[in-house]
Amino acid sequence: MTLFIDQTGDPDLVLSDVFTICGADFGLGDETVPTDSSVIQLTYAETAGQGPTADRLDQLVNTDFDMPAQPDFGIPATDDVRIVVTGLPAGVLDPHSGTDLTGNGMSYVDTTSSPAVIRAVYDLSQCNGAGIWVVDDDGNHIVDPNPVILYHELSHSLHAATGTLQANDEPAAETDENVMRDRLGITHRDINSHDGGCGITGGDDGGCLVVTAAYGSSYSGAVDRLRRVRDGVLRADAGGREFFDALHREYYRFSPQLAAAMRADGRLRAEVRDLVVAPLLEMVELAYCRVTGARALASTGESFAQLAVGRVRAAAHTASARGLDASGLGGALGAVADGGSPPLGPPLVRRLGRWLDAVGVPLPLTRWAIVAPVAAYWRCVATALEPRSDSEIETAVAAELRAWLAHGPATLPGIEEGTP
Amino acid sequence: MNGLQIVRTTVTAPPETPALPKTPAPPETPAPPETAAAPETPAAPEAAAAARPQLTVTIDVRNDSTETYHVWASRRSYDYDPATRTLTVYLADVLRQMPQSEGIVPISYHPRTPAQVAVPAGQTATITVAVPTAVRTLSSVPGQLGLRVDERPIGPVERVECYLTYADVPYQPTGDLPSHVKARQLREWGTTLHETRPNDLNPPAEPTAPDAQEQE
Repeated sequence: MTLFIDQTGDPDLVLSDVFTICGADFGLGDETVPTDSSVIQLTYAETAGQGPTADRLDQLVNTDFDMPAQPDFGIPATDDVRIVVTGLPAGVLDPHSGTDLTGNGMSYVDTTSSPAVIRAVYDLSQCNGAGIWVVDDDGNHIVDPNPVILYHELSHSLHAATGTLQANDEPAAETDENVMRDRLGITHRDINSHDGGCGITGGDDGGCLVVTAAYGSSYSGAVDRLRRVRDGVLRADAGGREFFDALHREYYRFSPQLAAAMRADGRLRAEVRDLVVAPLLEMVELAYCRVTGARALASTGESFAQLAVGRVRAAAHTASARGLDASGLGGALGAVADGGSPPLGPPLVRRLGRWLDAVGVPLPLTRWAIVAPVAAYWRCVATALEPRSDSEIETAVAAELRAWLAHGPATLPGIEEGTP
Repeated sequence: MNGLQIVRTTVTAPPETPALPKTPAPPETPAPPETAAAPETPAAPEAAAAARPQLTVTIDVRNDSTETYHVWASRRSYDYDPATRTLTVYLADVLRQMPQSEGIVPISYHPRTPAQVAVPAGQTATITVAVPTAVRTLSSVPGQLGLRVDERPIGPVERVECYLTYADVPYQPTGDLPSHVKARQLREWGTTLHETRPNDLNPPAEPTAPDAQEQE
């Protein structure tokens, strides 16, 4: 048993990245080390068919590596060498290079310990929220998600542990990294470019992981509208950015696993897209129009009233044709938004509740910002399934939006109860 | 006078952490845009994990030369001296080296390319960087596998010591540079302005005269 997670920094987020690497395989576990409370030790009983990144994790966790001496690098022979992963917040200074680790990952063999230890250290903050870019084969800046960074560093660690380090080990680690990128369905990195930096906008999945997984591309019109509301309105001041930083911390606890599961399961992907993501995008756009008085973001440019009535009636028509229980969806999602895990209700909603519960910590922002508006959407659709006038539907949508926003965080800009 | 000048520095404490959720307050009027964009301002952070409250440091620079300068706008390191209440901000890699402490064998190291702001001749720009509220330094602990992060609080800040690298062309590495070559290039790039100025929002009782040095 070789792989350990440092309790310094944010071990939960590191574990989340490892969970993504193994493809959300519940064969992953951890246990305390009786003689050393500064780390936890990973265990992994790989479920068959998990793929190459899980196979790599299995190798790292379940092999006792006798690291050979590598005189060219100054690495001593070490029996049963340990690999320790440390995930850090922004702004931690590395005493060995004299620089800030923000936006970076590094690995080294620490021979000051006896026996020597292989350390993989990486910043979990994505450049304090600005995002990390690397370069693809066409020279474009692409994102570098945390599970990819960790997988890259673990590649170096494996090379050291097995005596296969190369003088320039980056191309080999970047080749491995692309296997992880395949797992996440994101663009390959150019293995001959080791450039990177902080600050990426857009990009192939610079948007929400789950929304991108749902639509297959972050370039879809729906994703772009969500990004425009987020970056142009909601993140436009410090309060909004702070809210989003907090939301992202919650969101990142479960979204990589959910996105990975969606990529592996077409039916789940379609359900999440149709029952959760599309309604969320609709409600965000409706709220944006309601609060700001702006026209719709889509090229049609409808007013709030036109948008509310048109979209909700269309959704009701679709729900009726597909036999969806809009009222049941609204009720069950409402229970999840309130922190519950409904024993009854549509399978997807029960599964969603279990996903959120499995995180093991309260997720108040996720439940408010993501689940509650979807619940409100389905209640609106249920209203439109009854004989209602356009005016009544508009009133119902406005009331749902008002009730939702009234429970929102104080720092979210542009939200004022009752504003037209 | 030719070259790049620092004309003003400020340090702002982070806002209070909001209690969530609660009844919303009326929206505030957004502040007018600054002269130049702040590259470290979060842009698209789906994975903005582990972000924490930060000080906001603004550095107003003026280009008194006749050519455009490309000024580094990424925090590369930082420090704080409580005796002089001086916050040191490195927008320069003068400290950078390959990890080389005794007993440390680097096997993976990725010097990042800095964000850079173009400041045309005769114009000013505001560079904004976030700095943690404490100096956090990684260290090992004998007898245990886990590392430790030592924290030294920052504040109050009366002076800002800036290391600021600029050049008449932007730094753009070729893609396949080995790490140690890129680290050296970054360390030696362009001109580094070194200057200590008062924090205009909390100046010392006896203001520090600007003490500027340049190194090529």
